[in-house]
Amino acid sequence: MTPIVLAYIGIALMIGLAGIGSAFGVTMGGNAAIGSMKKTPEKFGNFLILSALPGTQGLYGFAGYFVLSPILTADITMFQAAAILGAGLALGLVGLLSAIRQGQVCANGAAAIGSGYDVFGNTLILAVFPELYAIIAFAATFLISGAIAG
Amino acid sequence: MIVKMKKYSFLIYHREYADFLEELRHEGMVHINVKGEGLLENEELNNNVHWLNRINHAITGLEKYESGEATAVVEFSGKEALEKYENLLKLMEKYEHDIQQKEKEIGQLRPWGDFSLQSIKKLDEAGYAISFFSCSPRKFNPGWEDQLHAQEISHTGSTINFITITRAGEPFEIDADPVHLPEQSLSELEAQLQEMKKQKELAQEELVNLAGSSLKNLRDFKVEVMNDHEFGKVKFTGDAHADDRVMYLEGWIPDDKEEQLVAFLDKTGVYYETSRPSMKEKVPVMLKNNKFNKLFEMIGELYSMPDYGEIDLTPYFAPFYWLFFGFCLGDAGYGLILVLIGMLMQGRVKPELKNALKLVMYLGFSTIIFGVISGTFLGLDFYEMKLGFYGELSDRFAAQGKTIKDHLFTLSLLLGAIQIVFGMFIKASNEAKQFGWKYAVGTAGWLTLIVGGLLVYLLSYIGANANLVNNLKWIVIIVGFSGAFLFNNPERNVFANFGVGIWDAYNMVTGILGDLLSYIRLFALGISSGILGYVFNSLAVEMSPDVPVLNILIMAVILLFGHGINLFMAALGSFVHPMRLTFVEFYKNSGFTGGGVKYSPFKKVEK
Repeated sequence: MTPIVLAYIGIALMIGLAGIGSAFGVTMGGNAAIGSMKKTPEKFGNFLILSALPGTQGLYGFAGYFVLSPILTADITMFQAAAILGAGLALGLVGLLSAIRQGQVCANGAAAIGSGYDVFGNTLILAVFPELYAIIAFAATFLISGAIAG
Repeated sequence: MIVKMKKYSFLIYHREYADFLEELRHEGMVHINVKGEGLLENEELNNNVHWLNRINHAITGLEKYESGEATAVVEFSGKEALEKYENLLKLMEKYEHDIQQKEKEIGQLRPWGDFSLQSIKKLDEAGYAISFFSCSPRKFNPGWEDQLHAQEISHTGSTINFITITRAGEPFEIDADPVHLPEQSLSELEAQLQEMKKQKELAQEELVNLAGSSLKNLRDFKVEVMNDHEFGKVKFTGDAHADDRVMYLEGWIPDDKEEQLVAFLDKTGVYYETSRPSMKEKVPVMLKNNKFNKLFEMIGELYSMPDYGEIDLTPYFAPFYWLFFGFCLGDAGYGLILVLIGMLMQGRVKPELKNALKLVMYLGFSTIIFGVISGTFLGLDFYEMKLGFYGELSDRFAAQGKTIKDHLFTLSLLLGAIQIVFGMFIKASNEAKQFGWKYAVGTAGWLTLIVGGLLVYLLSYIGANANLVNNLKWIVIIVGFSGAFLFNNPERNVFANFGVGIWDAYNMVTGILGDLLSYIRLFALGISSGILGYVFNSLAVEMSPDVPVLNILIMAVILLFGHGINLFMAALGSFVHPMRLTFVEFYKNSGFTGGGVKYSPFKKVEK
């Protein structure tokens, strides 16, 4: 197993898992929004924002790749590749699960708004909490890239 | 700080009760805790709620027609407008239903074309029965054309519509579906449909007129009903005594409004008594802060008002929140955008939002400061670019084997430690103020251990006099230990205190460690917004093709879109996470209980 293969596996996990998580998350929000629009179509703006919130984890996965890309050269060392694999695993898994769970929070918020409760602001606040861990994983990826660069 | 309140109790003769309440409402200073018991069963109040529901529905419904062009402008009072709206709504629903039915009938008749039923009747009288059938093409038996003179009228892919001509009075059956047509001809039906559509349009026009002329009156009516409802609730709160001849009512008033109230009461001649609140009563809470801290009251309200007996923590958390927001957003460019939004939008928003905009502006300043510290401007990393003195700083850090990021990490933990210790200090002084200094000894002991311990560590780190450090260390240990473990509760004996002290120690260590680490989120959020901005900048440059004008366009789109999302998401996070740090870590360490009810005096609502 050459180092570059290991590194790209890490990248694949990072982008793939985080992207899958976001896809699941925004879909959950979207489905709840469509259900709620049957009752309160005028709140589409709220639903749009809530559905879009879990989309950031995919972005973090991509940004993580971007930050690590200078290191992905042919003469990458095993040391660097292992670090990239680790970062990819961490960001990918955290992104996957935090996005799915965040999507569930947003979906519940959309459903509650559809039932007539004025919870948009509070849902936004609560939805930000799962995201924190994806942010931490992303920050860790960045720090790893700093540690193995050059 | 929490404004001091005084309790006023009134005894009012029942005949003067309603008038007194009216005048009290006019004064608009007294807070009355509305009685909750029995509120839901009161018929009059429930009535008000029903009215409000109807009015709200009418207002939302009418607002949809507001943009239309009103032709006649006959104004209706609020109540009339409500009834007219509900009638028109019923009419509209009926028309829509009828139109649907009519269109279905027309759909049925259309394949047969426009023929006159009179002709069919005449044929019937002449002895020829015309019967209508439809069936699928496969089932159609050509034999019917001979036997029954079947004539195809029309067909689609799946159905053939045909008639048969037979002698009247000769019933027969074939394997096809008989069709029962409406009594009127196609043209008659279509004329009726047009008439219905016209009626519906007229009703719609009336709704537009109603919206244009009377929506304001409807809204005023809503305010009127809301005021009546509040009045009713307060009236309900009064207790009847002495065979319902005297009403007893309690209210609260801030100290500075007392003079005004007394003057009013003396004028009305109502009997009243006044007292300071006791510990158990639910006193309304009104906060008073300077202009800067006042902006942060709305953040505190998102969680809970302090209890009347507590300290108002707003001036204590406000500077921390201000710092933390800036730390989390950490980009001078975004900070500039926030300041601009806060300054320029002042003229364009409702008065309630002006304070929020001011807060945005101040938070923007904090963000600019932290952006300068971390060298981030719209995603550009000044330390990396070695711009001006940033280059020098960057080299200095590199010589120590660190970057600015390491220092930011330490700074976030340091700020956290400061807030936690500050919170404990507040808790100790609060305990001293509320219960007496003996109760504060426990917290003070822990404070001594923590702060003293840090101090000793620092002194030994910088290589101070070893003797001094040693002495200090022992003082800290003895004072802190006795405070935290032996004398932490004046009502228990020393041994029980020691046991509780060990339990407290476990809670302290894990609790404070966890709380401290929670502040790492400041660092994580801070650098992540900068990195995302950096990524969007790189994307914008790399993704744009080499075509001269197009590449600038594409770059601009990517930059706008990317920084837009980033600003929104990062601002949301920077708003929420410092709030969480305040409400969880800071409030916990300050011993905040909360649960207070906000001071909202009994007065007439204007809008």
